Amino acid sequence: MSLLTIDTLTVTFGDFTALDHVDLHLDEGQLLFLIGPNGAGKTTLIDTITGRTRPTHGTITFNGHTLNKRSEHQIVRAGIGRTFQTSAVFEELTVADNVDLAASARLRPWQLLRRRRTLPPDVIRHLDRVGLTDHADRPAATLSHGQRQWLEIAMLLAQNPRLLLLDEPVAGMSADERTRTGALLTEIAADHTIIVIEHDMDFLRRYADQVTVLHEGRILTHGDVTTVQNDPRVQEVYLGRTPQKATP
Amino acid sequence: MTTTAPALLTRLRGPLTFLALIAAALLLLPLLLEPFRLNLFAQYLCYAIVALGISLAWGRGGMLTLGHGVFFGLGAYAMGMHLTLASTAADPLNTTGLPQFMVWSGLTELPWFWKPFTHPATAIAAAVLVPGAAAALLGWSVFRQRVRGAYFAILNQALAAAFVIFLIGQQHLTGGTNGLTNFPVFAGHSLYSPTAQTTLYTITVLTLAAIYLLFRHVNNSRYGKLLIAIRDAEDRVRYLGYNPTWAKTLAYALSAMAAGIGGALFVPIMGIISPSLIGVIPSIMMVLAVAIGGRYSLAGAATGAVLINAAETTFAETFASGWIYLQGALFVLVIALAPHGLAGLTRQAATALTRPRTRTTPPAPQDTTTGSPA
Repeated sequence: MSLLTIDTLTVTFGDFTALDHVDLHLDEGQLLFLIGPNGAGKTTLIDTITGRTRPTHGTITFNGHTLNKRSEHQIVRAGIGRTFQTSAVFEELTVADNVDLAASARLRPWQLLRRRRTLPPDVIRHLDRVGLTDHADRPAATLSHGQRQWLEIAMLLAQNPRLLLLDEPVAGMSADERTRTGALLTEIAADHTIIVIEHDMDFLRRYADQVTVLHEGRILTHGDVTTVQNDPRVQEVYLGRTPQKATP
Repeated sequence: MTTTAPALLTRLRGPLTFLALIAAALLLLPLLLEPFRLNLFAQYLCYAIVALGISLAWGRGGMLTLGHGVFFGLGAYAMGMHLTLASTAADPLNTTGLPQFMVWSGLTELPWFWKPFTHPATAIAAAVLVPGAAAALLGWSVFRQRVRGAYFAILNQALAAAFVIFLIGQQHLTGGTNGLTNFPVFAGHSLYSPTAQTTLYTITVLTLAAIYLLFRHVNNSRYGKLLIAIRDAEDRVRYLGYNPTWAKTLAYALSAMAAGIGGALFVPIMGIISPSLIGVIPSIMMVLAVAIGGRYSLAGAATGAVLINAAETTFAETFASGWIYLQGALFVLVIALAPHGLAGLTRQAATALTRPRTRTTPPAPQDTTTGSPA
């Protein structure tokens, strides 16, 4: 049985159809890249899975439960975590507190009211994994753009989700930061199920295995990177007929 | 590296300052101040208790509670009702067993909701629990609908206005515009004796200290950090798996309970509670004092409440009409120049003074931490 099943999902905003009968299946352990030109509906799809946007039609089933009517925090508790295109960390809290807060969501209210004296081992482990141990006690506001994205990934891992949704994790990163993020992604993918939205073709060629192409709210094609890249329809809508200009 | 002795001193500086302040307030001030001034100071401390609550809800949780007069009033009226009944019972000339204003309104029997207040314990419990329950109910229904910011503030104002209209309109039940007054006894003790006033003052100081420590603990817990997160990015918090509704409701209810306690203490000290003390304008004044003192710091908020109320008394004694302009100007100045209030200024000054010696340490601490009491 697949972990995530999206069945004829349609989302409309007034007259505009953002998602049009989208079907998607994801198995446990899969790493799926989702690409498509601007306005293709990639972020809308993630928003709908995580409860930010409500489906107009169709169903989303995760691990046997229908998510359609659940609120955002219930969906997270069901095991789906996400990051945001523009990083959204809590600037006034320290880096460690950001991760600690993400790791504590399942605690009971009275446990939250207790004072934390030392960092839980899990939090230390996640900080180490994304390479932010040295910044643990600084306010998150002092982090660079790339570090914030890594902090988001650490917060995501701390939630211990079964499915991770990453919205453009390398957007705005330097080449060096991209390489580090790619390595991190490969490492996480070994024991997680992940959907990544990404624009960067170069990054895709290096790290992607399976790719799904969205265009105008519909799934255009799905397959491995080479097949998708050579698909004339993809070249037409996504690469603008000229594969050479693929990397923005 | 520093040796352990100075390090220990630094760690103890907060608790020591705190204890010194309590000791000074309890031992020194009753000797230095004449009873009238001590009574006034006790009133300021009641507002300081309210300010701690506002700091928790507004500074921490981002909920601009422009209606805290209501919760202050609920606590005050709970205590006022008991004191009214106690004075009625102690009055040998009153044969009806009803408060004077009820007799004048033609009532022949005590209204049902007055009856439990004959016992002081009920009054004290109600002064804490009724504001808490009212805030929890209001908070839960409002936060669930994701109402926040200015809308929440306006709702609070409306609540304050409605509460005052109710109090004035139901004169036979509440004493109307005159409120409740004339409280000679509490639990068999005269309230007019100097000892009683000193005892009330001591209780107020200790209550303030206890609520300060409780809220400080709340601020330093994970829940306190969750409140900061909700204040700064409520929607993001949902994607961590938290439901912000309960977290905000709890902070709002705790805040209302502090206001209720402040109100309950205020009544026997002041000797009166009336709608004019708890309406829209007093509610705004309570928030103003917190803004001036520094809403992100519990100590700052409490200090702000004491200073503003003390300044009001001082100026009202010399030139009454000038105070309102000065207060307005002070508020504009603080918002424009020192958004973190007096507490923020103090911290900045302290950082500036210690900078040369601590150049190698990371940047100044954030203003949101409560820090040491000062």
